[in-house]
Amino acid sequence: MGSTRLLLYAARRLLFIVPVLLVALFLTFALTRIVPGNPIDRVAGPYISVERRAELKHIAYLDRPFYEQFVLYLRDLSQGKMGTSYTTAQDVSKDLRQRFPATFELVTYGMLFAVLVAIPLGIAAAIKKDTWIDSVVRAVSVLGVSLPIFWLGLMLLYVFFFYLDWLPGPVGRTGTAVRFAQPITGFLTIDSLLKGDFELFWLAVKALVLPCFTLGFVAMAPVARMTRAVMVEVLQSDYVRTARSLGLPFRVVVLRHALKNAMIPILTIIAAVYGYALGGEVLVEIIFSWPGLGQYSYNALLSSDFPAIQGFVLLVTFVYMVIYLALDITTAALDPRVQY
Amino acid sequence: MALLEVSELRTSFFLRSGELRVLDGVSLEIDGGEVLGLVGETGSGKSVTAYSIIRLLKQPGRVVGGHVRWDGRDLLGLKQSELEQEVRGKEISMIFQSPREALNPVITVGRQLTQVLEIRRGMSRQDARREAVSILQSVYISDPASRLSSYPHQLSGGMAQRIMIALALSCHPRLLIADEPTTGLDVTTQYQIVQLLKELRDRTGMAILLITHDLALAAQICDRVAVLYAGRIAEVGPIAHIFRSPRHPYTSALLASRPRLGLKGDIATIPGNVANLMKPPGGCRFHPRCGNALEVCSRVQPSLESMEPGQRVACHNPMSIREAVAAGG
Amino acid sequence: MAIDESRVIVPGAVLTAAPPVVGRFSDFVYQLRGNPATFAGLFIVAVIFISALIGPLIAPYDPYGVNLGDAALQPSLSHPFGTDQYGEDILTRVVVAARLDLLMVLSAVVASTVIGVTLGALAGFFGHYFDEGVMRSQDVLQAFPRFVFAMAVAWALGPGVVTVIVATAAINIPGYARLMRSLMLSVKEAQFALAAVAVGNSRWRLLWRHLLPNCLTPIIVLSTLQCGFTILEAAGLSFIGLGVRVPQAEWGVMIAMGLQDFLQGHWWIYTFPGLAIAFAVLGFNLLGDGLQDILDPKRRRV
Repeated sequence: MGSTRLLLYAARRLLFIVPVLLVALFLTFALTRIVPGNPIDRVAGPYISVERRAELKHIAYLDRPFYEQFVLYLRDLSQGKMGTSYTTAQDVSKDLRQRFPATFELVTYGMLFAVLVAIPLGIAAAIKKDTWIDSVVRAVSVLGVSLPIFWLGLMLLYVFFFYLDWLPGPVGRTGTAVRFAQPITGFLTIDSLLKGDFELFWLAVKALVLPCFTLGFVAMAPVARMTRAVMVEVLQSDYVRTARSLGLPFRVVVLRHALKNAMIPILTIIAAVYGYALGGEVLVEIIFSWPGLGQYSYNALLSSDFPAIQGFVLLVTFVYMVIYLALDITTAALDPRVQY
Repeated sequence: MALLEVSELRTSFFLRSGELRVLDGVSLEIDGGEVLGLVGETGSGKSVTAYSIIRLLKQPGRVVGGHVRWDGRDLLGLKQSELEQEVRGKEISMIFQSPREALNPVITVGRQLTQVLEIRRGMSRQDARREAVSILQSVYISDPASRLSSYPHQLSGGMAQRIMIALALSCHPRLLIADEPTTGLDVTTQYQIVQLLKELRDRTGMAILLITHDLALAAQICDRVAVLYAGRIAEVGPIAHIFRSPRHPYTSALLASRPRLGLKGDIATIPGNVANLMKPPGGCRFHPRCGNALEVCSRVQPSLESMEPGQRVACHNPMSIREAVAAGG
Repeated sequence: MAIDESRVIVPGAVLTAAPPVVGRFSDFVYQLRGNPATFAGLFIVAVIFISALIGPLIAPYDPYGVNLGDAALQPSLSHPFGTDQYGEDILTRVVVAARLDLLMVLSAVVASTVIGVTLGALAGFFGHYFDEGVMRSQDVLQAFPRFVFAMAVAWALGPGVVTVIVATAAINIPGYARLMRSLMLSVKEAQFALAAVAVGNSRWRLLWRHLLPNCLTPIIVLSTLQCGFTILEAAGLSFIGLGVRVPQAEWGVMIAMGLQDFLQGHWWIYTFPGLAIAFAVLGFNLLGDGLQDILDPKRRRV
């Protein structure tokens, strides 16, 4: 199953992303141009001079035909520039880079929580099928899939912040304290530990609890369901029966035989849930005033900040595609039946 | 005392619409080193018998009565952990139909083998590898060292079955339960597998419980044969006796329905349908289809009784020797 | 009751009873009785539908009756769900919102089902370039994270009911297209299809009368589940302000209004609409899962 072949497969799939990304980019571009009216007019208002208006339009390439705008955008993109934000007046790519760590930390911890809880729960439910454990897991899962994520965040905020005052309110990554850490990894939790600043670490953790749990709980549900379903099927399989007939301990059978087979569909759903989380985190950031990409995009939408919106969609789509690429490669590596 | 003693084993499947009484009092014995065939049609409960013995029944099945004794030990009452550690693999092993599905598709064949050796025989990784190669040689797998890194989907049916046999025998069990080991294989491969099983039996002295619907297959390897119908043993005895003079009407009908060379006219069939296991016929389960049926057959279930030395029949009105010889052969 | 032998899943066991002479409906009820979760789902969905139909007629208050004197009242007997910051009764608005949300969701699901199934069926049936083209286009659509795509579409089209319908329908199309295509591919080669062609059915007739009905079951299940997810997405869009806008009675909008007042501690403004959403989505999920169990012959209750 040579690793060189796997690498070649990865390279091929990576190349495949490019055309899809291009088309996606074009779609986004087209979408932003459907919006009636001129972005400059919408942003700048009627009180600027005609010359200034023309000047702004020129800078934003809005006086050129559509396809030319697209090509120019691509050219800028290749240089790492994504246009100037109408609201922050700096290059969108810089905005995105500034906002990225907050979102990345939130989504990472949220997904980590989701996966670390969902998989054991799903396995337990499958092993103890039709017992109370199974019923509890299934009930929690179906509930998690049914709750609106923004509502869950609000409810948790109310209970734990407003009512119990155990956790900080919706004011960002460090609660009300205004503290910063010189970013090394971008993860406030890690950076503060690296600096030995335990107070900051604790603040960061406390601020992360509610938003991560909100995201994590909703993400956990579909993964737990899939894990359970797949494990139930696998545990009924002939090869599990063979393993058991040889007297292999049940723990070994579950973890080394069953789980390995179950991993592929489980990873698939984790990738899909990650896509959902990339959308859901926008809502979470709004609720918790989290200074990440989600809040950035929300503000951009409200103020018709075209380049920002475009940049955001592009970045998020790119991340999503990379996740799926990782999934494809992992599946190919794990499953010897896949041809590549 | 026999190595394996099954007495009045009862197994049911509990569906929401009722209890499916698949096994209704199965009794058989296997002595050390002998090959017992368990023969019957699809749905007679052959595989269920095997799974009941080593307690690998899938839900919603459950053993509801009877005893299974291995070397005097009650198997049904053992704790799961004892069953795992002491009996399965080490004393009793099993091989299954469709060997390619019975092997884990994402783990190499070699790893599946070495894993069993490491865990069950406490070997080190290197020792396990060496032993694995030698085991594969003993089941006549060519180029065993490179076979170790194959995956099940890369194997042919016959090779997969040999691997299964290798796995099952890796801990030197005293009894091998073979559930339809040759179904689905081509005739040549079938023959090879059977020869392999014979040779292994001769070499290791292990007993075999061969489950099959194929009478000819049973004839090739079995010392004794038990005929199963609708969850009960109809007849059991040395293979030559059963074939030459079947005493149970079902057995003789079964033998009569085999396609044979030189047969003129239609193949005989057994009238009626297989018994409804949800509401089985009262008394002898075969009586609605039996040419020898008496009034008592619909009321009282016959028990196994000795006819000749070694041959036992469960029938109120077994065939006479003359009739039996006429039907058999 | 006699047992149909095709439903028994015991390995090898063969039953001989005659097939049941029960009608499809009583059979359906039988299945439901063994599956209380599904029954609960059906019940919940029925409640939502009834709410949507007669809610606005029997609601005690005017859903848009601004009454600042009664602003932000806690839940009480006269206002079981309390009032929002404009004095509107929340219970009334929650019930009335059912109509709007259900309307949007059903429109979106029907639209995406019809479009997606058509695309998938044609792609699977005709194959070759058409298949390639359709599937690549679905790949592109699916490259975006769902909600982000809905956000982008909704933003481009401007807020409104139609926008929500279009945005949520758009993200659902690829799911149906893929499902239908794979169903079509497997069914196309099935025995009965070959038989139908052998007796002289034209291609269109084959497609319409023979193949499509067999693909119906998974589509129905997907649509039911899709209703639930679409409610969440529609509410999400409205919450952000990209869908239905304040002060319309829509569950997501009401939660947004509740967010505005969050620091005052008026929890009832967002709690009840959220519960309504959860309730509705739960109903569709339970129903969808249950339908899958019932309609899949391998998982039926025997």
